Amino acid sequence: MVGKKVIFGFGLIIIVALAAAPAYPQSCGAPGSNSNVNFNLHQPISQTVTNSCASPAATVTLGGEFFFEFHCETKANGDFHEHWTSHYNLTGVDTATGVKYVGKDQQNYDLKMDPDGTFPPVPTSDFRTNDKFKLIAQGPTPDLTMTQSLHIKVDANNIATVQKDGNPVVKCSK
Amino acid sequence: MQGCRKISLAILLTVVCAGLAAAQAPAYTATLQNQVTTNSCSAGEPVALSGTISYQVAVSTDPTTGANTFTITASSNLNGVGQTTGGNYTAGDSSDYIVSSTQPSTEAVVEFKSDLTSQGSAPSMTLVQTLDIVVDASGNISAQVTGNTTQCGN
Repeated sequence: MVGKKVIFGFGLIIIVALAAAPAYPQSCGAPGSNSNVNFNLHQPISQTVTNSCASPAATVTLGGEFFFEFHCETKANGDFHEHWTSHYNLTGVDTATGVKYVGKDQQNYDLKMDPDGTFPPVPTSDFRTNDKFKLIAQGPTPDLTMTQSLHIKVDANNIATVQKDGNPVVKCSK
Repeated sequence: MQGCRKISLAILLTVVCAGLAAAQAPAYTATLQNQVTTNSCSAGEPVALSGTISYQVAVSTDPTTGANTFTITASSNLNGVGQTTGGNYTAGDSSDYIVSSTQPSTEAVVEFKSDLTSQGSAPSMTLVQTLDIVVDASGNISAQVTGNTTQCGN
């Protein structure tokens, strides 16, 4: 049995092996079977970001988790689809002012997967995106919008790789 | 001799201008006319959106694997009218989506988020638009906005 792994990069790559028992370890399933493969990853977060909306710029300490859900579906016509959801469950504290932030957001994707050229076809996926999520200020200060670039790959063994490309970009919200 | 220089300069300018035009011209622009958002924000309201979403596409092929890399940039320029308060809103943002595939075309349904900024006393919200994008290796694109919702966080 092929275990599922999710690799999440934070400067250094951390490999997290999930104790999953995939029903279809080599693919989503035979075309037309409407079968599914699911797994998820809870990735604890502990990092700081610069709040450039404050004057002078301040440091915000983030805690909580990024939580990723992956769901592979075989359509009746033989197409493979990847449903990906990025969840952001975060809290933040401005280290200078003590202002707290709460971020509870998510972003969804549905991508047509790429058969790997073998028979029967095995779906793979490789995409990059920019997730946006809000940090809501718990006081009379502006909210923050964070944009995080992600590189997400699923190989022919259903091994998903989530690579964080750079640090989140902070934008001020009204 | 001077004539040759002028011709060379003209050719150079033509090539440069053609390159710039190819890089900058939107591949596809969709017009929204009074598309009303579904509001999931207790402090917000449904908003009728009008304006454009432009898509730019770049396709490159890996010579080793033959895989196509489809780079799609969606950019919005929207105005809105609150259906309860009559207040005005604006939204403008962009986002990149990059999909690699060995297939001659690919499809992605993505969520495109932007700030829906109130121009008055009503609270601002987050606009989440669902985009259904199909693009092929020639750079042809079709895209639809299949959902407009508003959020205001927690």
